Amino acid sequence: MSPTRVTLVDEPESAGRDTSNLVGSLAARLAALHLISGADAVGSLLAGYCALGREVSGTGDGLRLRRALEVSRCGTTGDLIWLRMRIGDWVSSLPASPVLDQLRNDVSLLVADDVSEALDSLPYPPELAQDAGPDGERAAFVDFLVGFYAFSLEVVRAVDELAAPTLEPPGAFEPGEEPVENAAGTLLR
Amino acid sequence: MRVPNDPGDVNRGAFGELLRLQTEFHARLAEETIRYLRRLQGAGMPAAPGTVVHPNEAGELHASGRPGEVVTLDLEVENRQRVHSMVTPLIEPLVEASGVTWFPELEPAPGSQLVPPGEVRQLVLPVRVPAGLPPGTYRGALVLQGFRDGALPVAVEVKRLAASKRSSATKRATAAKRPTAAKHATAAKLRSRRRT
Repeated sequence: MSPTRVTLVDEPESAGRDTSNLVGSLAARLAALHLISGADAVGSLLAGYCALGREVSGTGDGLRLRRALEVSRCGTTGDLIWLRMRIGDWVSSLPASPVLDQLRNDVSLLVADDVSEALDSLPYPPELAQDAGPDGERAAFVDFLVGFYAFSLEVVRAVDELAAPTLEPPGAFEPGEEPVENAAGTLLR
Repeated sequence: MRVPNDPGDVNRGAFGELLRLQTEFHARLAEETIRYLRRLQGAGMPAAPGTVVHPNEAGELHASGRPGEVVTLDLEVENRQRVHSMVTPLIEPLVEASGVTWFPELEPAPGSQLVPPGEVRQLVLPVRVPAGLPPGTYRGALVLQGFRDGALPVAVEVKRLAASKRSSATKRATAAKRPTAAKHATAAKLRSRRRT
């Protein structure tokens, strides 16, 4: 029996995922940063993470992690901070960035073989007066990638540690509802 | 019209109420205006091209096994887009008709795969069937994280343990719970001694 196959296709009525569109999407994101406040940019990213968290909570592993965090001290304290500092109100008022799509599109760009041609069609952004950071070191792409990787790993390890005390073992199952005995009680007589 | 400000004035209540209503109205107006502007801002956000999953006609993942075994769900992913696509499979809780809910574990976790354009990758997803899981057909869905319309129906048939395995498991379980013949004999002796 042949295995089930799925095909990955572009969204209907969209320009689709090709290198020039992905370069255009990245350029538009960078340009938009100059038009909005830092608080809006950060809040929109946070709203995107929240949307992703709600989506993943529907899966077995996501639900297990969510339940463990909810009943742990970290969940209670996090809720308290989130409410008291009104982070939830702020984040809920912002449009959610499609963080996963953006990440995947950027990763796809890194392995595409026609990025150079796509970049040639873009206008060059204006040069900045200051070409180095305050400490004089230029920020290289690989610095970012290695740093982001290390940061993400730290997030994973921290969340694993926070959830560990209340995390249920994987592969658990819950019994179904017991049939109600003597359903016709005194009230139904 | 006289608008009194004295604390002891009887009309202070009505004036205060008017002020409160006005303040609330302005606060609400500002809040709603900001919300509207945020929505406008969201509509103007740069688009991020996404991916849609199309299952083929026989689009159900099926596996069968016994408690304690590892069963596999086989899935082929064909990337018809013009750039690489990252594929991250996640499985949702599976439910049996009797209401038993199983939170399956992919073991080892398959992680993500970067599928080049025009290529097909086979994903073999091992699922451990926990010991003690009641037999039946458990249904749910496998999702490819982040893709639109990405859920694939999944059915895992959990069979009864083989008779020999079941009887040995039952023997082990009853041995742990019930006293053995030797224990019965010792208990009988103790009872007879107490009588004498």
